[in-house]
Amino acid sequence: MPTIRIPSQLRMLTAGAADIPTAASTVRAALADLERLHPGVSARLFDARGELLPFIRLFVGSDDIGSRRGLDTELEARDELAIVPAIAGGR
Amino acid sequence: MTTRAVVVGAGGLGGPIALALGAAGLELLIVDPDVVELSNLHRQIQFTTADLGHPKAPRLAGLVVGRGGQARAVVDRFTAARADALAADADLIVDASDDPATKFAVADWAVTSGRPYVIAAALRYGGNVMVGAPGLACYRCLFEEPDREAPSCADAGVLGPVVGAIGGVAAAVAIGLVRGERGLAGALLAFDDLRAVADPRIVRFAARRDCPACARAPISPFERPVKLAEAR
Repeated sequence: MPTIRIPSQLRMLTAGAADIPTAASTVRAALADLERLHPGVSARLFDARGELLPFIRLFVGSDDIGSRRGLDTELEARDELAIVPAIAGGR
Repeated sequence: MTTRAVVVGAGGLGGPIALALGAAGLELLIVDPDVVELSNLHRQIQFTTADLGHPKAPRLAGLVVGRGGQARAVVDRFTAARADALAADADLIVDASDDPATKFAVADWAVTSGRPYVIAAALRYGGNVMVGAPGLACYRCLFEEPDREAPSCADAGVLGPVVGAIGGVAAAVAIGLVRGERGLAGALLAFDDLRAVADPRIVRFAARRDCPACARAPISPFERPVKLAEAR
């Protein structure tokens, strides 16, 4: 079963869970699953038009979904979908 | 020939980065507008209570010089308007700031001036290190625009040792860049939770055809790959 890897910055929205298993077969369906399980996550990933926010990137394994089929990228059983947000902290 | 580097930010990330690059023989310009505050000390371990109220950049530069390195300081914010004045003679620029606009200003300047660069960030238990080089997809290709509401370490907190770890990685890849090492150039190293997993996720990404920074770059990411030495 594919898993969604939640970055530490968003785990307050997933009750602390770092890995969320999903039965979804595409990135889009996986993120819809995530929103059903943990309402509010989508608002941190997508704008009002449903477009991925410009400071969020999604990777399946080490592949940018933009280099595959975007949100329609298919997920295999062992795939890990990673949400990678821009981070600003450090000073 | 001396290699010159600009380090933007003299805090939790900038401390280990500047100390490592200075000890490696790079001539540094350290840029930071802030003063040392008590709440900084758990993560900015280059400072002590004796530094409270003093500007960070000259204090950090003093530590580099005290260890035999070369460093100057500017107490200012790195902005697009000030970039040429601050970094014109730099061979490399490293971002260790904590605000999104500064990170984009550093990356955009590096891309349009054809310099290698490193963008480091840390928050809570993890962080990112982006390794940039001329002719490759850039930071703005990756994240497009700043998250104006992104939390800083002061807002969301950061585990003290995390900035040291991320800063150490940033310094190591920066030294690699100035030596012409391109193994990680164009990659993002994403450290998710250093309490649990030390290995980063290393990802690469394509240049965006509509990236405004790449459109002004002397070497387009859509042309042939180039060696760093060719970029200057």
